[in-house]
Amino acid sequence: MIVEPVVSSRVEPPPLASVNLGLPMPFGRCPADLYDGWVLHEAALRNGLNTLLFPGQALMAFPGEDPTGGVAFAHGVANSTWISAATMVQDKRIRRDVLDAAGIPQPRGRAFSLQRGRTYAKEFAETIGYPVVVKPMVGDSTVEVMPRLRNADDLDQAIDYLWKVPPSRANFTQASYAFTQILSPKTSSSTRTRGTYRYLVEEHVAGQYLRLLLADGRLLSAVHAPGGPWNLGEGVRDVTGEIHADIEAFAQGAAEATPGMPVLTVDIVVNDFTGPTAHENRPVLVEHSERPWMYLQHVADERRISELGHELLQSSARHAGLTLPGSGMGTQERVTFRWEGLSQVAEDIQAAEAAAGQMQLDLRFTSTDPVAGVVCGEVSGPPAVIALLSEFVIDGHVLTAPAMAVETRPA
Amino acid sequence: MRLSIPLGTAPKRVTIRSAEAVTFRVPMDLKAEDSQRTIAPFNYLVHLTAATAGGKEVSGLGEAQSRPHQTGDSHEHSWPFLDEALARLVGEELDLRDPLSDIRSRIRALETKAGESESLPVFPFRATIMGIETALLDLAAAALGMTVADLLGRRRVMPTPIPPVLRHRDAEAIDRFFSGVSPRQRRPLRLLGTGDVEADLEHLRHVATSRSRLHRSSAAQPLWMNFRGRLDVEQAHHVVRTAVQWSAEGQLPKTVILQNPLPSEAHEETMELQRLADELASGYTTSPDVRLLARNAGPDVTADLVKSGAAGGGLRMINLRPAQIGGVLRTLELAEEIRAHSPQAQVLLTHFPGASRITTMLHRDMAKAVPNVEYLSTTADVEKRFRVSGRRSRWRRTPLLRLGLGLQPYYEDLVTQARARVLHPTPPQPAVGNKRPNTYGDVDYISPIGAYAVHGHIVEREALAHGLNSWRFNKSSIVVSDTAGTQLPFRTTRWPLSGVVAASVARHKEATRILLKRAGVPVPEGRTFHEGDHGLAVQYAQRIGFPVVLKPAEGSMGVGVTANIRSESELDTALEMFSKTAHGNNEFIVEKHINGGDYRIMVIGDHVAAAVERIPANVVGDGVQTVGQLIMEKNVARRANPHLGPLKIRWDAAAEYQLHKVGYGFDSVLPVGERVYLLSTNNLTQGGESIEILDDLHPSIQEACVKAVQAVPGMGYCGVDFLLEDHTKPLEEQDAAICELNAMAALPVAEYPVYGTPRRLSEQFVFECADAFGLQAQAQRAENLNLRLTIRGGIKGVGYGRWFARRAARSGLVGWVKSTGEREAEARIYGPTAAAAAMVTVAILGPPKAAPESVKAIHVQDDLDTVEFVLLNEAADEGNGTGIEPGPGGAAEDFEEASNLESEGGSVSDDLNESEVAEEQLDAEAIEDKLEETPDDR
Repeated sequence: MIVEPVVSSRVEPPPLASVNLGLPMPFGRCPADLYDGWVLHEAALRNGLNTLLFPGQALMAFPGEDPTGGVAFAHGVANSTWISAATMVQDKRIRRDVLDAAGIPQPRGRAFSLQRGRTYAKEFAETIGYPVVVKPMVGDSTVEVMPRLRNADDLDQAIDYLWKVPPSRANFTQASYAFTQILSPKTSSSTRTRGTYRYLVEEHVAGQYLRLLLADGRLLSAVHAPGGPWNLGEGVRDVTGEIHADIEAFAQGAAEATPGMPVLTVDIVVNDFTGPTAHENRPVLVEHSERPWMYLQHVADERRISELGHELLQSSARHAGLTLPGSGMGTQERVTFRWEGLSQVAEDIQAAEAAAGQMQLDLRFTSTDPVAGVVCGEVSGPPAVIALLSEFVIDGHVLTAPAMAVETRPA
Repeated sequence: MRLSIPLGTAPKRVTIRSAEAVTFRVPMDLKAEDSQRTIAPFNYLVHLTAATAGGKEVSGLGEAQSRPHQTGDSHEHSWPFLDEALARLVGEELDLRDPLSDIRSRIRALETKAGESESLPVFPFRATIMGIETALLDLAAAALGMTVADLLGRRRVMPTPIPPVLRHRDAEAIDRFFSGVSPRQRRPLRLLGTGDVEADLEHLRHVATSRSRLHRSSAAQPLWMNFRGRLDVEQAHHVVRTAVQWSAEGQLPKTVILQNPLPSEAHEETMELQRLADELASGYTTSPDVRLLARNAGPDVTADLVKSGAAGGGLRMINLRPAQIGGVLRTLELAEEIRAHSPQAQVLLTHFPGASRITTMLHRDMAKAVPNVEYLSTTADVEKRFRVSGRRSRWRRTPLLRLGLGLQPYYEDLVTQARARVLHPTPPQPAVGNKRPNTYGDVDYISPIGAYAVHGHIVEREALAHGLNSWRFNKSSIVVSDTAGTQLPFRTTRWPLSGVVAASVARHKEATRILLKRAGVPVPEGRTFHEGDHGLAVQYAQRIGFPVVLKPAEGSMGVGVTANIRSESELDTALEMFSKTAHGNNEFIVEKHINGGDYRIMVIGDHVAAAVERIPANVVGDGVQTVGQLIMEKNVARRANPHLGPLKIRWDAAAEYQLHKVGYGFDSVLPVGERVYLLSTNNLTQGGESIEILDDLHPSIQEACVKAVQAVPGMGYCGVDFLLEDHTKPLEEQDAAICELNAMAALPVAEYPVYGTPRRLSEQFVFECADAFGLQAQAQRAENLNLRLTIRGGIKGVGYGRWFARRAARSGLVGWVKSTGEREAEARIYGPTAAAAAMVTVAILGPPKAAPESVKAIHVQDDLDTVEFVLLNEAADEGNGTGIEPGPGGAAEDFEEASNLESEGGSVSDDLNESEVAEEQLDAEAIEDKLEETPDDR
């Protein structure tokens, strides 16, 4: 048997922060990767739509009986997003080529493989100069990015980190629709990533880090995050009203270069976001994502979230030719629910009742079928919390095992 | 001298009953730093069977190491030559009273038939002919109850293998090495030169000193340095002088072998160096023995060397490679001649790298019979990866009892390794039960792309065929655009007409089932249970009705699955069994059992575009061949399918189990027309077969498929997995259910079915998109494409241009390719659509060491002013000299350097293992495509 060296690394990517919801623990924080789906779920409830939620945050929100007669999202990403476009931008080497051809400035960068790339990666880093940024070549934007690597030693450590097999990395996450990568080690006894796994080494760009959220080419929000999206300390704020029109135009240019993404997030670095983008102030695109990643907007200004959720829902409704029933719900509402695919109904009922209590929801079960694994009931409370309960029921936070489908209808 | 113990009476003759040949690619790490190939060469296995007058059966095996530049065997000519030669052998009688004369005359006849040509002054197909010769010698020896060594005339008992190579150059590492060698071990050692003369000489001296100090028992053994042809004449003179002097002074051992000091063509100069060494040596009383060894060479040069040595002296050592100089008996004759004229000359007997055990066994036996053989190469590279032959007999292993080479074909591995195969006499085709599979004209263009990347190719092909431009980033990702600049991305079947939710939902079987059930589509009812919830599971089964299937919630390959459970008591037993399996502590699923065939029905938009029935891997008996031979025949025939060619029937425990169940084994000869299944599952990836049946698919089934797909929002394309009892009957008249939706189902399944009507889904893909997004695609499919390619990425210094030009020329394209920068090349290609489009896809692969990152293909109108394919500014393509096929005497073709490392603990073979069948020798991307395509391991 080959004994592999234990993979350890001093450099680790900063995690995407979870969002404080003001609820008692363990439901007090929403992980960043669930956040967008939850926001859209809440928006659907507020608009009086029926919802059907499946694993992978696949949400259908619809009036009437037909789940396909409405709008749909996966992790809050609109279903009108072409699967091939989402796949393409998740491959950052391809995304770089496509944006480059459209004349969008990006940091200098190149992809290397774990197996053979270390020496070349270091040579390349020397050429472009430290600090550099390392990110997995394929994967969700901003996830597992290791920014500001100061020297070859840091770079070595970052590569060592990537040698740890992805599912065992603390900060690894990927969208449920993502391209099926081989993320398992080559043998069951191994803990190392396969050698063919690739990563990107990019120039670190200094300046103001700005996140821009667009829907159908229109800027919905701009957030200034001085420490990047991984560092949510002081200074993260909404600057939608402050950015120069050139910045908005820049983001629109990036959106046009990658068709098939009605909603997208563009992260840029610029010297001064309030000024025109003349050569001294040329923005550089550092991330480009089909996922809204609105946890950052939450940190910047929590009050805008409902509005953003509604805007994104509206955008999808327009694409689907659907007129939204309007804000049917107030701050307190009541819905009926049906949970399917439960494996231990009795234990799950107990767990759900306890969770609802902590979340200050009024929940009762109206029918249970332990043989089929189906329960029905009613729940009332704020739409946001009802949506959260549904998301957690599917995600495995509440029940003994994740449910396979959660349906809600306004009572 | 003879060692074989004669048992019984020797037969006087044998009649050849059958002749079989199998081609396989030599396993090689083409990405290795010192690899100079872009494609692995072929070896041929030759297998003859014969019978004596008394009906006793014997067989003979031979291997041909066909190497175009060295042996005159180019596959497209040498394989038909072999086929014909073997056909003629069947029915022939081999005279065993003087077998060598009989075989010699047969070989002479083959040589004459092979003929001579202007480009090859000596007869071509030398390796192929030697393969036949070897099989005949083996057959004769086996029939006579002796080894090949004894048949050839044994002169010695044990030959010496070529000494191992010491790669360390660091003083401490060298000391460590010698300290670690057992004092009882006495053997010469080889070193590698670098071309830096002084450093190399110093290294030689250092190794000698270190060895005298730390490993005294070997101190007097020869030291050997391979200069790899890197010296000029002046430097070589200096090396010879110094070596003689140091040897005389005791700083080097008495015998020093200087191998390949000069470039490959400088054989005569090497002889002169030997004369110089001999002259210098004569001036010392200690008589130092410095030997010059020139590279192995073809028959002409070798004959010249022998003549020159005979005339002027200077032949002290010579490398004879039988496959290169014309076979076993010719080598024997040549060595006799050398002994007659230069009795002191030592012979090295070598084979090409990439030999199987058949060749090494033959060389071992030859080395016992050929005069003056001092060393021989013994490494069977092929067997590091798979077996070509196995022992005929466990107990007849010693030279006293071994029959011939003692080997027989190892079909268990050959079934998947065979690239081509002939068998004479040709077995009759059974009249029933064996439909001829479809063949496809584009297979030669597509096969380099690899099975799983085909579906990344065919959409691009159709886009190009309909006037759209393409931009490719890897095997599966392309962006298609029209002249107006509208861009559409594709990653295989991830396309603009499917949304993210469709991909997300289809990934979860359970979610799919719930959604489809709500939509009123027939699904097998089922649910997941927590470990140990047996009582609940039984209640559930009663509710949905028997029969049911029990399976683990996670897992594949059928482990822990019990199907067709018909009663409560059967379910109890199955649950009890399940709890004892490796999955026993996990969740499990109870599901309605549907007793139907397995169908993949392709839905594009709102219509069914193709339907394929999948059946398990199987063979049909012909009354002549064994199951093993039938599997090989089927796998070879499958190579005419661009998609399924590499996805072969494997011989493994599962196949053995299935075969055993019906009372057969691997070596059983199946009765004519009998079909046996080799797997219980229908996986096309494991040799299963596809039959396209859309024309017969009942409309009610088609409606159900469309309804299922429309139940998932934004699912623009889907492969619906349907279990059906009879696809021609209405749904309500049969037991049927949809068990899975595949958002990424592979298009080639229907585009390249084994049987039935091929459906060009990829073209429909392009038209659907053109309609939906207003792309300006031409309605008419172009017959020829005229394209400009821009290739970017790591393509410098890896022989990309030469590789491209050769591939394009072989595909019948005209045009040119040229390097246009450090990381960029440009090409113009013109030719038939299938060939040109495949070239665009293959361009993203490049030769083994290339790493292209994008290929842009744009339609152009202007005509090319060439009628062939040319590499422009060749100098800019120069790299490390990587070629398709090393030239005569290429450094990488030298013996054993790549496989016999003393100091590095077999690191090369580890490297080989590293790339070994890395999931059936696919790269990561191909495996990913496979995963997308086969979420449930289908």
